[in-house]
Amino acid sequence: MCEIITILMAVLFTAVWYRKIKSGIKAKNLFKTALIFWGASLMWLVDCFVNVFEGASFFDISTEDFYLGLIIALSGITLFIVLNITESRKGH
Amino acid sequence: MACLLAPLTEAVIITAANKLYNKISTKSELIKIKHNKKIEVLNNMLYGGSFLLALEHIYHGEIIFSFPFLTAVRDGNTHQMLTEIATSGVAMALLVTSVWAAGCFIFEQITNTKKGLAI
Repeated sequence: MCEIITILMAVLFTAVWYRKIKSGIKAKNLFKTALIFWGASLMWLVDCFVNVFEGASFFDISTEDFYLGLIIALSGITLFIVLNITESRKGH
Repeated sequence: MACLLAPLTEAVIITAANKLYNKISTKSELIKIKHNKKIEVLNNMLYGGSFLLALEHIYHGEIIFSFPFLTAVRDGNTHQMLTEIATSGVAMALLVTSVWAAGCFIFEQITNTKKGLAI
């Protein structure tokens, strides 16, 4: 579930960033956050394959992993907010 | 166990190498800016991914906030941890770097195609 949630967040941030770019708005922090989620998704993808080699299922769909996924999603969103705050402070 | 150390180490090495490259390179500023943007994308993926992986390791109790910071080292599973870093960790770093390289290549092709169409 954690991997699925991370991929969904990566796709969401990428989609929002792309929409902003098409409207002519620079969205550097959206892009950075999307990259962070994509990086984590790729790293956890390796973990998924290792799980299969060890005889477990590709995705861990336990409740514990779901809560971890939520924590990861919230952490990414928090990072995005912090990036925006840092950028606005540099602007001032 | 501590597989995030491999991509994190790669990110630190790339950051240091990039700083050195910027110091000694005689290429034009435009080329340097283009190069730095690509490296920034890779670093965002490596550092950011490592950060989120660190959160996962804290959640599972594999990283603690007291010395030796890794429960594998504390419990005497250092060999197993090093094996995991060498296998899973290196695979993670290679996968992220490969995807980044493919992305850069595709971006260059699209940019060159657009330039060709503009002419």
